[in-house]
Amino acid sequence: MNARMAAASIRARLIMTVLARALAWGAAALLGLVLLAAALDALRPLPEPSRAAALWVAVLAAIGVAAAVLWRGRHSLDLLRVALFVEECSPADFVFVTAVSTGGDYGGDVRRGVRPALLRALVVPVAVALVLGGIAVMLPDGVLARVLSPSALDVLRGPAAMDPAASRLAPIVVRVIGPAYAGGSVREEANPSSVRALAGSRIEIIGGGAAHGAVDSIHATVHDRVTVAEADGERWTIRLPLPAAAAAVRLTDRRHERLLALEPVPDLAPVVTLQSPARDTTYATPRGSLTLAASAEDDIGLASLAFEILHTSGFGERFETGRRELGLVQGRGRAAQIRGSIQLDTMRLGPGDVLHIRAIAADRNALTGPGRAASDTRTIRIHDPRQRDTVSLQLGIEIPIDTSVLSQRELIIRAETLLARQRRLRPDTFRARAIELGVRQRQLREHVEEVIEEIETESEDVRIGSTVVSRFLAQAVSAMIDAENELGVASVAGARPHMYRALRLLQQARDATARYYLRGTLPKVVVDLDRARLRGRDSARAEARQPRDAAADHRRALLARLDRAAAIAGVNRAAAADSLTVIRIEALAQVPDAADALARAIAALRVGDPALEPLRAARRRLERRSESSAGILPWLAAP
Amino acid sequence: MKPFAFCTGMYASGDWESAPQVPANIIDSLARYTTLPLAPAGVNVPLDSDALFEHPFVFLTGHLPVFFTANERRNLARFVERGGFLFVDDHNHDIDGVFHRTMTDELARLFGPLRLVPNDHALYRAFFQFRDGPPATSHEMNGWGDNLVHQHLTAVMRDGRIDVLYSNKDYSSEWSMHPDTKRMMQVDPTRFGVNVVVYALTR
Repeated sequence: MNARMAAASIRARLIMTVLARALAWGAAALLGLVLLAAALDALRPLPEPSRAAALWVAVLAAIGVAAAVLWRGRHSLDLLRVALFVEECSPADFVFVTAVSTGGDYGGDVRRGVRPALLRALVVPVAVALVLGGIAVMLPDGVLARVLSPSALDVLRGPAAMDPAASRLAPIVVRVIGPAYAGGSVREEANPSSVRALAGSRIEIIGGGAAHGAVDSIHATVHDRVTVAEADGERWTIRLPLPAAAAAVRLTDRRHERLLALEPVPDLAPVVTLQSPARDTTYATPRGSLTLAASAEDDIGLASLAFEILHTSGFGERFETGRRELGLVQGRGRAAQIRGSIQLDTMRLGPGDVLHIRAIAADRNALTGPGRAASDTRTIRIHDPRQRDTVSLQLGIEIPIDTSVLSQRELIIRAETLLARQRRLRPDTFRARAIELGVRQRQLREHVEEVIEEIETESEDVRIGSTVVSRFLAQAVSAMIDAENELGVASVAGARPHMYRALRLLQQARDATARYYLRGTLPKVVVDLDRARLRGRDSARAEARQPRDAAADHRRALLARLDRAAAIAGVNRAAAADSLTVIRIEALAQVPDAADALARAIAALRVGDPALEPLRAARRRLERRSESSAGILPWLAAP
Repeated sequence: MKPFAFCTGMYASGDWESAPQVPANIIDSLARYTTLPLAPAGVNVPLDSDALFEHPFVFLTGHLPVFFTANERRNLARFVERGGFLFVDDHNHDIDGVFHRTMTDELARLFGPLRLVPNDHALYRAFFQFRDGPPATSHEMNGWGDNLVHQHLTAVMRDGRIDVLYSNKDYSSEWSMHPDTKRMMQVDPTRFGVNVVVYALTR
């Protein structure tokens, strides 16, 4: 028999053994850690996140152990190492190793010596895994399930309370079912004292011990509205909608009571930002295009985003306003962007017309909404020469551009006149006049180049670079050079399109320059007070004024109640926690800055931790008086 | 004591300056009927400036759509929170007009919904007696705008006291005249303006 074939056969068995060993050790590690977590949980119940974490740790440890065993057995892939293993199991003066390395024949039975070694390698891990598995099987119902499928409902598992008179309000699980438009997510909390949830959610309060007496003695009261529990096997369930404002749920089971605070979290309206146009503007004339850009974000999801444009025209007492929406985007994401543009030339805008541009968005809230929001509004005005209060300031750079526009237009008129008279002129006269026009075009081009230099240079050392205006002018220069070349060879007809292109570009450069309008100067009318004082003909008959009632001081009222609740904390922590829960619900609406400190105090009282410090913090919050800052100006009332 | 200055609020959108004669006219009436120390000319204050807080009374008017900027909103909220009185008049006199719709939206967003002011409110007895509530304007009687005679003003109130007074009655047009014109009129239409200012300063 060929030695290599024999070694390959052994190698296959060896690989199988390594895989089985890795599997067995991995399973043993998994079972060991799960059983350890279950034992710790049995001694002192672990919270749900800890149990979920323990399961993940066990799985990762099992994978790690299996990987380590595989790594250690990686040499089983090497034929020579396999031959050495055979030599170790049944020593034969390395005859088999030599035969494998040289590819020769080997007459001995190598399998017989290897089999016991392979079995020995499997015995320990398989035995350990089986023992741990056996322990797992023998555990009482639900012990392993608390680790393998951790859930808030686990607090309700286990043996039912033996005393029928005991409260069935502890433990409880609160299941929060989010509104459908928000995805309908479900979450469970075990024994909460307060539940925060999106407005519109539904609440299910689940408890155990339904078999110990009728469940109709278990009910929940919110604002005098009573909801009776429904039995579901060993459990009872109370279903109620989340109230619109923070409220206390009073759970009652015969003589037992328990308080639960419900805090609705409102679905916020979208946040809409208009990026372009970036500021209010007054246009000299309604020409050109206006780029629009906006974005919106929502905490749950956006339903739509669009630009809203109001166009108001009129004067004096007569105004008309038209509204339209642009660029509507509908979607289901939490963020959206839109872009667009409007052509001012085509909107039939006249002097004095006003455009109000903003972005508007709506969210997907189908229960209490939809929540609508709008961005800041940009006001685009068209200059009205009738308005005396408007001052128009134009940049000085416009003057050379304006003169260039006029010069280019004049050159075009001359060129077209020359073309019209071409037949009546002698060829050399026509050529001389065309060349003369070319010289004028060059002079104008040099003038425009000077303007470009002026725009792009701030001082001798500082160069700004190209601007929107200078880019238009540079293109105009290019068109002028083409026109010059055509005029230089007396091709007036060929020069005409280039001259028109230069004119159009100069016009665009002129339109791109900024113009500033300042509003808000009104004639100041001064009244002659001495002449008018007490000269009125009508007689007044003012009634006596009622004194103002003192404003309600919510902080002071809650502070007094907090002191009373704190006083009983040393005697009855549960009663103190319940009192603080009610105080906190009112604080959420009236003094929200004290609510967090109260929540810490309640949590400390519920779990038996020291509550003095959070109670002090809550008191400090409620004691806070109105603040004044030096930045606020007093009433002066003088112009 | 500093004299009272009639303050007109300047906002970025719309035409806040649409009733330039109203301030002088109300100042003239305040001088004719009261002994209030007065500044002889009105002042115009941007709503987004801290100068707003130098005045206890601010008048807003206009025809065009109104969309406050974030700074204007913040200042107006602080102004009213600190006890300032805001008097807003729709210069369009049109309940379907854009000023009315956009301004009431803005006010509701800042202060909550506007509610009807009862016609026996102290506002109507603060100086002159207006037994039937807000006096009608000639623009209402002539059928301008929405062709309605509005029976009530609306307001944002705290414990019955007005913080923000809103009028659909177009007092901005009614009071847009030279003060001397009042001598030729049988009934001085600006008497209600006196009530508004006196109420704002004494509520």
